Amino acid sequence: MADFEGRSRRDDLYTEAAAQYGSALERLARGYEGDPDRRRDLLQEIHIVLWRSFDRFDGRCSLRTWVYRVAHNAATSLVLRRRVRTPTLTGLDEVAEMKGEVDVEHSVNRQHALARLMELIRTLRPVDRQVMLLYLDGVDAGTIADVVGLSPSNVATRVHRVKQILVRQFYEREP
Amino acid sequence: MHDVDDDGIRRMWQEQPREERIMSTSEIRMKAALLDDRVRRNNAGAAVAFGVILIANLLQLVMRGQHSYERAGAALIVVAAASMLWLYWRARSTAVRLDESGLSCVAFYRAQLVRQQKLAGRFWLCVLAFLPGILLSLLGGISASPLTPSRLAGLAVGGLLWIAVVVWMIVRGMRRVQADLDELDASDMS
Repeated sequence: MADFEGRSRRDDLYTEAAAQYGSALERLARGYEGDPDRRRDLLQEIHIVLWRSFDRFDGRCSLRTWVYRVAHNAATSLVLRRRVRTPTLTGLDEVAEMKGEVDVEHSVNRQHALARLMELIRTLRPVDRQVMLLYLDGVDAGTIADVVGLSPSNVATRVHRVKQILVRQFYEREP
Repeated sequence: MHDVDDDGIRRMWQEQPREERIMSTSEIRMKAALLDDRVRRNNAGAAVAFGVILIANLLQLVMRGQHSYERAGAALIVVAAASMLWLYWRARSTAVRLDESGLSCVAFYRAQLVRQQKLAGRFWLCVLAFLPGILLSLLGGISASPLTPSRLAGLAVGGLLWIAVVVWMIVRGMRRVQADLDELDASDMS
């Protein structure tokens, strides 16, 4: 009986999370995997891990924080598994030095800008990638700090760097 | 530069069209069970194949080895393989799925890096467990049918090169993990 209740609670929480954050999870998967088939597998894995995780959800953090934490951690596992094959990942500081080539305001092809953005995200180290993806998703700095586990001032610094990168990469043109 | 708003790029990110449909909980349950089965089958298959092939071959060597060193070496390798299998099985059965535990991303990443460091340490244990057996077997093989000096030198150089490559790969991997941990510690403080 208790097991049935546990399952039902897990299912209810998962259904609510999937309905509210399903599209956010899709975008998150895009930030970790470029290949469409592998991305589908990753997204499926994230959903399975999320569903299972609700056995341990005790409500000490919000549903949103929990969903983002579990999803990013599942995706980070993938980054670590593929570590041997992937080139060295970089931090926000290194990326900030790079000059962009795509002007999002004037770009005829938004898909090109989006592809460039995803490419950029996938070169970042896990923590920087998490901050950037959460910022792009419109998550506030307090929640980002809660999800990632950094101090609010640390997150504020990183968000500032992310903004600089986005502006430099997508709005500034080479003279 | 900072006066320029990045709302456009954020909007573009958030307005991406959805590609996947949401799975029902029964679908999720089915897929989770399939995934568990596949992982269990793969682990069991790998362990059985590793155990059967290694132990069968080495037992054969113990029975038919021509030199007592070879037999002793083969027996040590069997013991080392069995110990490694047992350690692997124990580690698997007590492993906790950290990604389901709702840890903050930094805590999770750190835990995974520390786990990788421990795994590399276990690899050294594995090398240490197998090394006496391998050396004894080689010594026995050489005593049973002495090699020409050039072949012996070739064997020694090949063996040393192999060891050097393995050590280099492990050290490189451990350094990479340590660098990530240092970077994480530094960024956590900033």
